Amino acid sequence: MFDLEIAQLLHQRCGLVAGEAAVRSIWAFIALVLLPDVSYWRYPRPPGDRVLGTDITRHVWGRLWWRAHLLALPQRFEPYRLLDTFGEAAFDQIFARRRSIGGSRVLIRTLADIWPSIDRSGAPERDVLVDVLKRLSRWGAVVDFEALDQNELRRQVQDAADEAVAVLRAQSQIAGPRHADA
Amino acid sequence: MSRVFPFLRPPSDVVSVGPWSRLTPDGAEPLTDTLPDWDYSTTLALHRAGSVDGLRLRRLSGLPIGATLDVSVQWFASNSALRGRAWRIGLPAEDGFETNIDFRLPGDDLGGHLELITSVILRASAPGASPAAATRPGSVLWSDRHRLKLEADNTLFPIATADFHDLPYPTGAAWYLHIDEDLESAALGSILLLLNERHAVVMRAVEAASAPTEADRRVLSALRTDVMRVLLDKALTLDDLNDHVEYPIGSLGAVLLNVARIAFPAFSLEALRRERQTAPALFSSRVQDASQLLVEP
Repeated sequence: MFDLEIAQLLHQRCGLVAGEAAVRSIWAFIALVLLPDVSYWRYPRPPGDRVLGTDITRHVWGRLWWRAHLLALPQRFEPYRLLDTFGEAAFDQIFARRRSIGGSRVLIRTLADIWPSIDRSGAPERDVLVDVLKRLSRWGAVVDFEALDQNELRRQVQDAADEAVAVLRAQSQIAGPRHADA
Repeated sequence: MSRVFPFLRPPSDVVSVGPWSRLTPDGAEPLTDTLPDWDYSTTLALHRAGSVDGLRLRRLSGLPIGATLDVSVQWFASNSALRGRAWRIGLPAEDGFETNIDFRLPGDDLGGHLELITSVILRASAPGASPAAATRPGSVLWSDRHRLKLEADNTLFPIATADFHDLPYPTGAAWYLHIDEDLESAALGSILLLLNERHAVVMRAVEAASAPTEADRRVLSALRTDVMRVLLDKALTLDDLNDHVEYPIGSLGAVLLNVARIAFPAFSLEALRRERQTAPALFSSRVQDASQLLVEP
């Protein structure tokens, strides 16, 4: 909850644009000069990339700003309502694919918007998400998601989720008897 | 390495596009490979003309006349790794369809290198398509990329806008240059040029700084001169600033000394202090000269 509130606060109040928020030294300054006490309270004995800004996807504050930026809706009413859709580990999976699909704000928002309604049929959430992201990355090589309207985009994400769940269910059925034999 | 598409794509000559142009208040100019005057507050107004054989493109992609296609432009910024759609229009099933691509691209999400990707996209297929034709909405049937560098490597001067009504500065003032006094601290955190949002003339000139009109140029020249004057005033009134001291790179002390040295290479700090004290009008004229106030570009 702390992270989600801070993500919103950083995004609303820092006055950064995305080009500036991509500069790693800005986050090192915020973590080590401006807020060293809070940074080390949040991550006692942190690995270097949590505070130095060597990897924004891991940075104590940088990753929160980016989470808010990628998920913020272009509307006045509840623009940050999608922030809590994914847990930290799940969002890391998305953010780590910044260069393929993580840079498409409309795609990430659409995924977050329909994620709670996806029927995973008992498959672990993380496995489904990883599989969906792989499919979207693969399609993204020949498909321009940005060119689509919201409904078309929702259908694409739903298709990816349906395929991912079907494949995972089939895999678990194959793996089941083997485990039983063992 | 070329990309292999899992569906039929037409030859590249089904689309012909002209060069990209940048629209300015004075007209259009060719879009150069580098825009050193760009910053995050710049909104790029871009244009290119194109002609698309919508019927031939459908036929050679294995798509029926009823397939829905778009011509669209997507942007990608290298430093933020963000992408988005800049422009889109439906592509009718006719050959020689002329289109003018026109859009404005705000600078908020941009930076580093900017790629402009013009594409023909399948929005929806229709009955009668070839089994080898694209089926997935969004499939890229044709595309063209243009890449340019947006910003120079120079550090940008710290500027912010504010309503002076809410600040302890004169409500009608055009700008206020805030400078701290710790000579060892980072200059970028010690200097801030505040522009008054209520001052329409200055706001207009600064927003158009990448493509200023003649009137905007005069305002920007006055702003540059005044910023230099205030920086020099600060340098000359801070008794601790000494031109024999090595201040840390990027510190306020180093920046103030540099401004004085670049503006008046033949004068020591002490000589400048004396002249400012004894002949302020002459000193003021020297600042106008050094900053090239109202000199034609």
